[in-house]
Amino acid sequence: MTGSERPWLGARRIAIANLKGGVGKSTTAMMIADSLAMAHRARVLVVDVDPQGNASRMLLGWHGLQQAGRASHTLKDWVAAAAAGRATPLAPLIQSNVCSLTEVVNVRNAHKPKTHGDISVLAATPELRFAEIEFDHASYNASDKASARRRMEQLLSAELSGLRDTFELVLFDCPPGFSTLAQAAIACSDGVISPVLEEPLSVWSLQAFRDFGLKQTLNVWDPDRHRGLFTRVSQKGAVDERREVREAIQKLGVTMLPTTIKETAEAQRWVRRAAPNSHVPFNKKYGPVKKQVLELGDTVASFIAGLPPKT
Amino acid sequence: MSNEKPISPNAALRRFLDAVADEADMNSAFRNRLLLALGVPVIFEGQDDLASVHPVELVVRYDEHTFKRIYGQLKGPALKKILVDHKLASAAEAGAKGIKPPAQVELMWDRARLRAEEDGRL
Repeated sequence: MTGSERPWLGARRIAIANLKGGVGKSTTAMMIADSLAMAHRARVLVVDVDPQGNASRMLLGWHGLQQAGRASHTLKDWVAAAAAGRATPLAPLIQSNVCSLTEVVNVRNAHKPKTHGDISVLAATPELRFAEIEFDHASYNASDKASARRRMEQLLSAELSGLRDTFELVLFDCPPGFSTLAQAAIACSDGVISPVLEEPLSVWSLQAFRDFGLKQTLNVWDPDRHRGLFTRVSQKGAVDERREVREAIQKLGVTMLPTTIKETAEAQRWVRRAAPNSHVPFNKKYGPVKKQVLELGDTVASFIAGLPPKT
Repeated sequence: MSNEKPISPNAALRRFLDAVADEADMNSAFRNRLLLALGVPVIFEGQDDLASVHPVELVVRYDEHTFKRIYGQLKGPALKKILVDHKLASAAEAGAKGIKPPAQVELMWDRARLRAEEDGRL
């Protein structure tokens, strides 16, 4: 595959975001990163802006995340420095080549031209939340309630612009809710993907995310830049209710990606990495959802390729 | 109301314990759950016993020497199955070409310790 066959490339930023928790944002981020790195040769940077750190833990393993924390190589360290008024570069804090897929890290291919991309992560730990609060306090301006978000967006955007040649895609794994970091990540992204469950509460949350978050607070709502993704889909029961959910989301003006990720126990099998140096083949990792994960990568690549230039 | 003849509390208890003992004899996974629930050191021996015990349960109970002696009696395929079934290694890692049982036991010790640390049990 040549660069010209990958029109979606080019330092794009996508936020995986929704107000609601438990919809599969971190898992979706990992699936997109894995499928694009493996099947599309993408160099992906996952920026974990969620203090839960689930995406970081999935990618680095628990011990890898502990090591990153002890070495002060996490997003918290960057935010804390920014809160203290010290400009710190992001690049040294990034953990490189963290993909858990055998295919992507296969050392036997090391001498060949690059057949796969790679995944790096800017990790999060729970302390990120406190650093963010410090940043909010340091940036607070009573006459401009958006001052913290704007300052964070400027700093983040400037740092990521400096990494344009290193990474082809930046994926923000946002927390539930609307933290300053989440707002900055969404505001500086080219597009947003919102994982959604097939249940009424998800519709309400998505509506609040669109109206309160994207329209009212950030003023970035653009249906061409926003996609939904049904996750943890059950194939059984409540057919009428699920149809109503789909119709309600359509009325919101949110286009859903054609791929859905079904609920399976096997899909969660390799969420927990056995060790930072443990790797697993793609087919084994994703089991019965492997085709859907590959499709997800393809549809996300198409979505990114079709994103209008940002003004 | 049941037509069955009433029995004494002792006889009822004995009947219940006999049923538990029968099940424990036939079902190694159930037996191991009971043994682990006792919370006292028990040396698990034999392939049937070990297959259903999570290595993390043993790594938190025994020292390295005992752990490796317990698993050292198993052959390569059995060790690979335990590593993979308990998600301590991928099939490729657990059954890599040339990997011998001592290396598999070493891998199991390392990974089980990591998992126990992750779960806050060490």
